[in-house]
Amino acid sequence: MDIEVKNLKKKFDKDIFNDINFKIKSGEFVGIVGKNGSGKTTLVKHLNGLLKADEGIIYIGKNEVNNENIEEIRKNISFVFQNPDDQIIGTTVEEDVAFGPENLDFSTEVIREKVDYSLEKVGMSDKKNSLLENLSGGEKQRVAISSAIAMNPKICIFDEVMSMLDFKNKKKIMDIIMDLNKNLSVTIICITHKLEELINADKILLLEDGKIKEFNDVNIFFRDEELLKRNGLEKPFLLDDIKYVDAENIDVTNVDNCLISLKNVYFKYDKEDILKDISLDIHENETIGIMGMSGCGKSTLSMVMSGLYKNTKGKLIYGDELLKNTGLVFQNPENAFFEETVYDEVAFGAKNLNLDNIDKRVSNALKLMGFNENIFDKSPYKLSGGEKRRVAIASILSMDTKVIIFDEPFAMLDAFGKKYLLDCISMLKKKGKTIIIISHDLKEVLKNCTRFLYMENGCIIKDTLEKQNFLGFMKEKYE
Amino acid sequence: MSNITLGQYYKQKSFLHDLDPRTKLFSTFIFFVMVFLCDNVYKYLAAALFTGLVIYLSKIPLKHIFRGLKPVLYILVITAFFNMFFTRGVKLFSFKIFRYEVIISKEGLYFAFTMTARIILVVLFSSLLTYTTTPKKIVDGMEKSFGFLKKIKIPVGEIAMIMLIAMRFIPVMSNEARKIMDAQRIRGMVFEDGNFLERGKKYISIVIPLFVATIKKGDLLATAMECRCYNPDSKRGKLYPLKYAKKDMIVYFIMIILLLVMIFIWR
Repeated sequence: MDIEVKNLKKKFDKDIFNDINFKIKSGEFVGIVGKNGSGKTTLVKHLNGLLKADEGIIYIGKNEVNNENIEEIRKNISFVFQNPDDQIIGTTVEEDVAFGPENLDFSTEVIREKVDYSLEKVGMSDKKNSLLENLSGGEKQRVAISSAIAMNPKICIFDEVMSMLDFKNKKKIMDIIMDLNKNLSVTIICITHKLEELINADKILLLEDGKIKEFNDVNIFFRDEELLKRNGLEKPFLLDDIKYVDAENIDVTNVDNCLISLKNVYFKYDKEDILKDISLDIHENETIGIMGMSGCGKSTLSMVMSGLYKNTKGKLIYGDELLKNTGLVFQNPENAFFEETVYDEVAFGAKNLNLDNIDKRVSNALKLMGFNENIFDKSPYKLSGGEKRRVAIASILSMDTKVIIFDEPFAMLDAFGKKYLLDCISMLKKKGKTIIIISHDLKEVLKNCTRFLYMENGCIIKDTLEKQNFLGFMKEKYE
Repeated sequence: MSNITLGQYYKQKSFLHDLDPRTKLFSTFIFFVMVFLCDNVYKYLAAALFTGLVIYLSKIPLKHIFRGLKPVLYILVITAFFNMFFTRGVKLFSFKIFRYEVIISKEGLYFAFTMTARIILVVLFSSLLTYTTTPKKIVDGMEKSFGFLKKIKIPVGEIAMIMLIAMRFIPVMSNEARKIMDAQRIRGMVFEDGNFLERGKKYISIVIPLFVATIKKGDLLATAMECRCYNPDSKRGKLYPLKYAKKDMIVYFIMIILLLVMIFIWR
């Protein structure tokens, strides 16, 4: 079932599609890339009729996409989104996977067959009666993919489906996608800005300035540094490529000055310990990277360190009372916006802590994130995704805490977004702040941190100041 | 990691879990009617015993069930309070606060008891429904039972789906609320401090982002459903078609008998 897009034009807030033309042959594995905000998701939503173009025609197979045949078209195209929580209908795994086939009014036997088959394809057959709320993020995403496969689509669209996952789960999903493509001849459209997800792609469609450019040789595309840079992309991250790691010499003075000390700390929320016997000293001027599989307790550790959650056992000692106000930038911090102006949002934290010089704090924090006073009176809700993220970070920086923890700050950012963030972290380091970065992104952690931690099952199993040592350790973990 | 257990499905193998959702819906409705027909202490006791039996049949741990009652505790206390102190009638006790005489009447005490008992029983029994039946099953049951209303243009399918999503969203939203509270706490917000008014104002910092999140998630979910060819008007297949078994018939029979006994025999 070939896809053909002809002369697509659409105007829509800031997105403009000037004149989009491309073809995807049946059975191809195509990557769609472009910087954040270029309109990748918007474009792809036209393929199954979720959005309608101002001008132009789209053909799926022999059918033109229009209001009459949308239902037929959707039987052949499946769509998997980024966050599994936003797609799940059922309570148990098989309940959710059955939803699609049920909608197509198949008989019970056929539905059963499709559910079992698609669960097997994603390796979740043994969990078919499990409650979805008890599954990990990676498992939920596999269920979401299974739900898409259960409809036997000819075309499957994956929209940034791996951006929230650790490398083990990413690999599992990449294998599933390859299996669909090679063994079941499903046409795959994969939207991402992580090029390592597209190393097996047949071709790449780049969305730049409202137009599509086709690249039939992905390797040539990956090597064009100028092109990648212009579009907020980075070369595919392959572990073997990191042989030499830049050793940036950061002067770690005041190593004795211990800011936060955890001794034999345990934490549990319900019945099971999430943190087990954690002993950790955090010193001034350190930049610590914490890595580990999803669910190992990294985020929980950050919340206990910052005093948000109280440890159930063990001791937590702050070198200074003020440290209780540790800055913690959560994942998707822009979800906590509620004030009417950017100024108020950024000032919120500082006001709550009764700090002085609020004006100065706010403008310094915003300046650090690349803004000037023009942003003060804008509504936080009217900013672009990248701007929202930066304002959210500024709202933590205005509290001027000694320690700042970032939880998965690189997730969903393209290279431009990352640069803002890394510049900011650089400035903070120069000001003598202690930074802790929790991330799945090994490359960024190696490049920017001076100390490396790895967590597994609630324990810290690696704590080293040596990059090569940590790199070797991680290579073994990746295998 | 969700604090709210109210309305949450609890996986278990039990007599109750195996029943057809329509049977459970019907029984819950009949039970409500019976509770409101109670007019003396012994009847309430009987209703409580019956509820106890059903809890036993559900094999759901008591601790979990009572945790579901926690949110309702506030309403219970307020209801009991107002009924106890502000109902006129035959004076039972009284005491003085400053110069004002506070009277607790026999009727007041009785109403307080009645209201509290009704609320507890109703909440317990209906939570048993949601603990033992997944939202989708409840909705499938409602769709099948009330399907005939489609003929008079009542959108049974849509209403059923709305309810499914609302129930499905309870843990999602409570999780979201917790995350938002954490994010505001890290910015120095202390929700527990302050008088009633001050605390109310503080909750704005949760309500607004939660509202925004709900709308966003609702939109995303609706899109995902469309992509999976959901159509409320068309016929849909079922992985587990609803079929009555012998145990369902037994339960129907028992509930009807109990209701008749309540209305006609036990006066």
